[in-house]
Amino acid sequence: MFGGSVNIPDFDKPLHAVGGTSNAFTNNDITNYYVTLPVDNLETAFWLDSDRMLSLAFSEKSLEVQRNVVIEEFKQRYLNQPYGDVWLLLRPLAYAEHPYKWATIGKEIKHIEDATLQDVRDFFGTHYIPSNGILCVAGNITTEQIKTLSEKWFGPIPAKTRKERKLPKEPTQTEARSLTVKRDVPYPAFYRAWHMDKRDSESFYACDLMSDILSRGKSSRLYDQLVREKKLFSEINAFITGDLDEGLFVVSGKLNEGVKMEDAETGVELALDELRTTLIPENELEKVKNKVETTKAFNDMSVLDKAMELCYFELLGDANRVNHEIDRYKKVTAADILKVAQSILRKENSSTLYYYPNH
Amino acid sequence: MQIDRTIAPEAHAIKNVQLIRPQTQVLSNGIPFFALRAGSQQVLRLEFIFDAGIRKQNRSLIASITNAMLVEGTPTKTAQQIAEMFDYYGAFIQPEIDNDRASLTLHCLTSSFAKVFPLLKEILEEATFPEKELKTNLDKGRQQFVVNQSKVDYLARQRFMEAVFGMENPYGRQTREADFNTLSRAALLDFHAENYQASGLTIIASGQFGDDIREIIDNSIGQWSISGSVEKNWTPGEYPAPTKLFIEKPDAIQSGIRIGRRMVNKTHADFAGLQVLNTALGGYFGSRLMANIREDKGYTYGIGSAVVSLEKEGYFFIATEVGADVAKDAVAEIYKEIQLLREKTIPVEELQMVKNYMLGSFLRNSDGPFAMADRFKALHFYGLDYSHYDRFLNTVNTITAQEIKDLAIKYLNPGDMTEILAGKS
Repeated sequence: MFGGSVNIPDFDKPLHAVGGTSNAFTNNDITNYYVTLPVDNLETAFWLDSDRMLSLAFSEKSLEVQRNVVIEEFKQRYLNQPYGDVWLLLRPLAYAEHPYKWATIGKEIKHIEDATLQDVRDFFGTHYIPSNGILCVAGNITTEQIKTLSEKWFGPIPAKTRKERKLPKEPTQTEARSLTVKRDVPYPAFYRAWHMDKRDSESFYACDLMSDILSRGKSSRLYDQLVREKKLFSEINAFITGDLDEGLFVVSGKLNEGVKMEDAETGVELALDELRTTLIPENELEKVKNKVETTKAFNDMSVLDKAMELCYFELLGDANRVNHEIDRYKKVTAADILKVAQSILRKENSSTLYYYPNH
Repeated sequence: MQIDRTIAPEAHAIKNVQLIRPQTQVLSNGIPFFALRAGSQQVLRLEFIFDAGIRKQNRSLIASITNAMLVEGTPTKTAQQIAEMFDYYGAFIQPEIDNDRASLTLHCLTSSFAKVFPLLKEILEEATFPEKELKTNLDKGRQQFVVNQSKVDYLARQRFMEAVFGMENPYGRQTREADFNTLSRAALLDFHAENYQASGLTIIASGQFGDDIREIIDNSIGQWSISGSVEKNWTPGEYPAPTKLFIEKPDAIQSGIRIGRRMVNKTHADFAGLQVLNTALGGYFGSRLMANIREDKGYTYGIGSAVVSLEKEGYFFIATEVGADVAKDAVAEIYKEIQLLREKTIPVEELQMVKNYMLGSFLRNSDGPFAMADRFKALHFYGLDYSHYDRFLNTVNTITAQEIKDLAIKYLNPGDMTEILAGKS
């Protein structure tokens, strides 16, 4: 997407030349391309981005180089880092059917090596079409100006028919899964993932807050009990993947030197037992909700973050939801969290990766 | 109407940003308090910045562990209780440290300030550095350190600072695993007493807030007694000669490369020009190093360079991680790009692009109250004023291709470079 489009040989140069910059990220659900530039030169972004929506340059040389770049990315992020391959192992353990079983970058280097120009063309032709895209412009500019520019540059591009997202549903897991690996790392690590509900569900908010209760900040339960008090872990985290389809609730941690895996695991499960059996105190719930509220206020300071949020909620069905997310968090009760803890944090619903050092 | 998509829309000159400057409101006892009001959200960032950065330490780890442990105990509260209180009010309390300064930063909704400030004050006045928390911190730190030893980029970075500045220089001295075994609570208390003094404190508030904030702070911290502290002489030690070092990591599938040298810092007249030169070489996505080593050769996911200003020193570096089999070729290409800048003037069009990119970046990085406060901080501790930015923007606008070539000849001599390679031989 940065290798030139049908009418413009280079994407970045003209953008840099007007004081702009751009980047992109891809996760399991979306790809987000973004540009920031001085508002006076906004039209340059419309010109560049509409042309690459029209069509890319598609050259063998460009593909060859980008393949190498992505292979180096694969090595840098997943293979040449201690614990770097965790998600390459955990995803296929947790998912049997759903494509979430693959990391975004691919299952292995061979997948990248085998990508052909036709594959790229086909993927572009299917997904990079106006009817499958959401455009958000944020900044010191009027809606009227945005409409005019959008009509001028994107209006003439055929919308095409959006391919419906029909991904296989992950079958309900009925048995605990586990995988044990040995790698060249200094300390053992523990990863446990449970299936949770999709992003657009009521229980999502309870799950998100539950992960905060477990590991957000140094007053959180897992940090306090397992790092500070019992000293089982040197670091521990609980988080949700937050995917559009049914995602994962994950607890991951690196064991302290000399700690046995069984003891670490027991420590985690004891903390989770508390969640599964006892209503969390009101002030603890209040605490994680307050944190969500502050975080939102800080995020709203950046136009880029605002634009990304608006796009994401539009993808979920309604950009205006961005204004009501806080209320949905506020509505969560201690009983809701008890309920998700009981329904999600079950053994049969879990996949565990035991990650040991070679020596 | 058919539009001609081959023609770029008209480009407009990039306007200068109007930087909002803080008001100076010195506290009763003379502690400088700067208030920068901007933005539309009712949020507050409050920074307590001490002259207690890494360069103040005589042995490694003391400065960073002292900083991290500020929030881990007072006579009346445990680490857990402190964390609990800040978290309850949705506030973030963050100890931060770099080579020059150590700080304690509060982020909160402005409306929560009065509720969390008493605790913040208690931390600033009565941190106790409990033995138990020290052990947790050292254990965590040691494990992180050991994990980092298997990262080629980390190894190259650590060795680079040592090789460029030398083990006697506070910026050069690097941590060893054994350092985690010998740090005592008594040493922390000494470091704290010596370096976290009122005389070395600067307070910066940014966001949207009323005058009551300063008043509340003045009623407590503004009453501290100030004893004169003596600025220690800067003793950089002897600088090592440029060198080439190889760190063997037999199983690494990528090699970490770091090439660079000591350089002038932002107080020097050449610094702004060097920033332009650096941007062209490796400072942005369209840079020569990216264009050659990533976009043409496909050797790496990313390569970049930077000129770094420290309060007492400065340095320049190029860093990348490349496939182990192409490490030597990548190094050769890096030097080729450096030589090119020394031998040929940069084409007008490319120079203009670099300039505009930098002007746009300056805008982007001045957006919002916190960024504006960062702009102020970046001047204040160097004794510079806002005319520094005028000079910087003027240099970016007017520097010529010949001047950039002259800077490359003066500062980017390959013979002056220290080169670190970590990976498979």
